[in-house]
Amino acid sequence: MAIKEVASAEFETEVITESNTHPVVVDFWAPWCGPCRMISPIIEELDNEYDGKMVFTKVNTDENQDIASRYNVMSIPTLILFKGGEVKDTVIGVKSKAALKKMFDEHIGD
Amino acid sequence: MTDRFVYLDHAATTPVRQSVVKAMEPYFTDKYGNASSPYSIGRESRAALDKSRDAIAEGLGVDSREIIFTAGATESIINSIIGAYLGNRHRGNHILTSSIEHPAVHAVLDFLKEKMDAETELVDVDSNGILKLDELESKLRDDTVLVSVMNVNNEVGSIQDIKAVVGMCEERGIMVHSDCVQSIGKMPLDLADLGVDLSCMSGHKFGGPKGIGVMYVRQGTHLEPICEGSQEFGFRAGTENVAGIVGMAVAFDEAVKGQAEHEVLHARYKQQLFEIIRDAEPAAEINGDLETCIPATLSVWLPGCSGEMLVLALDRANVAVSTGSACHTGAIDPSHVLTAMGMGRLEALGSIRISMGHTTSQEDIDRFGEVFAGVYEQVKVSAG
Repeated sequence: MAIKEVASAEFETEVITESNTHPVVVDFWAPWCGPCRMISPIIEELDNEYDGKMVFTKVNTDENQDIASRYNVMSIPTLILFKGGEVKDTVIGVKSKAALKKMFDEHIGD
Repeated sequence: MTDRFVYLDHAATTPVRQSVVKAMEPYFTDKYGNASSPYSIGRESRAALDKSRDAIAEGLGVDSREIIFTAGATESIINSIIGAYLGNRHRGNHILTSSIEHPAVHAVLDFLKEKMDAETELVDVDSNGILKLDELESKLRDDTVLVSVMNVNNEVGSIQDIKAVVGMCEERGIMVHSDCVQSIGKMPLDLADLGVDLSCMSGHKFGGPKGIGVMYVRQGTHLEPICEGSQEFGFRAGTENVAGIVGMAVAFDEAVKGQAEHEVLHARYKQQLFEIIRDAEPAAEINGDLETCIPATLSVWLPGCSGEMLVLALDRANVAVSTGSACHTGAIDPSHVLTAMGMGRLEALGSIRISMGHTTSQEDIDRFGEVFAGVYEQVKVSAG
């Protein structure tokens, strides 16, 4: 399933509020960014594997600059994990699926 | 017929001059001797090495014994900064550098900080990419051992007042390292006149081959050899790259001789390039200032477009330029130079760098003019 694109107007409900129920991972990306295209299929696989335990979303930084600057996103791709409405972890750049799983697992079920 | 290929990324690397290829060729075939061997072909290599060293030293206004051949500027930077730090560690551990240095300098300083107990600090630049000298002066301390400030910035072309930096440091006994990679063939350069203790250059930035460079060490500079050996006055072990050295010396000679003429041409082309860009995007702005930058480099911000996308689209039109961003560890970052100049993330990501060199001609500029507006229009549209 394709990852849900979140725009600035929906960020509060789709990410902040949702993260009170499940951890939410936001993939900050841009259409021209090569490394973003590398990480995108990994995120889709993780979305399937973490079905029901974690929510994955995407924010296009070109179109939603306010959100990008609110979370001080300078480099892309940047993944930010939200839990309980707060930033709990940040990953910059392409990482292996195993490395991402290791990080995400720490935020599940505690 | 294929379209003319327009190469406007000379700050990244340059095409090797034909004369350089020709001068190097015998050192791959007949003249293969090790410059340390005592017999005839060894002596022949030694003579070529000495001659090249003398020519480069003369062109830089320094003594031949101050020229150390390395595999390029990055290696020179590593050896000179770490060597200067270790050689002067008893005097202190504080090092200052500009916020717009090449990543090679910042990486070495990070290494010294993490592994060798150095205290490193950045000095800011203004919105034109010029070092704030008053800030530098206020940050100098009794335990400052080294200041590293590049002569010409690689991304925007801003020229630093190295003499003023040396003036501040000399009276306090602080060493000055200045990366001169982007200066050769772009502006007059006399290292003795600048008064720096350490400097570096890379052959491939002025029509020479890749994999060869110079580390300049002023006589009397206290430098701990990092790669000690019998070659290169004890500062760089390993069999000398004779072909590369010969090639670099030929390229250096031509770059220096052609410098004044190219500077005039590049200034004219730069004006034309900016007019072409302004015609396509009236809101485009130069990053930096024409007065304080070398004519060969033009960094431009185009609002409402991604530099990455524009570079890829220009590539499809057979034009090579570069972006205002950098790819590090699998992520795209806005250029640290542009952000240090006070630009926001989007302005930096929306910038491109056009850089000229010895092969740049009016035909290149004209071809750029033919394709730019059309390419920009596509990128603008697809960016929404």
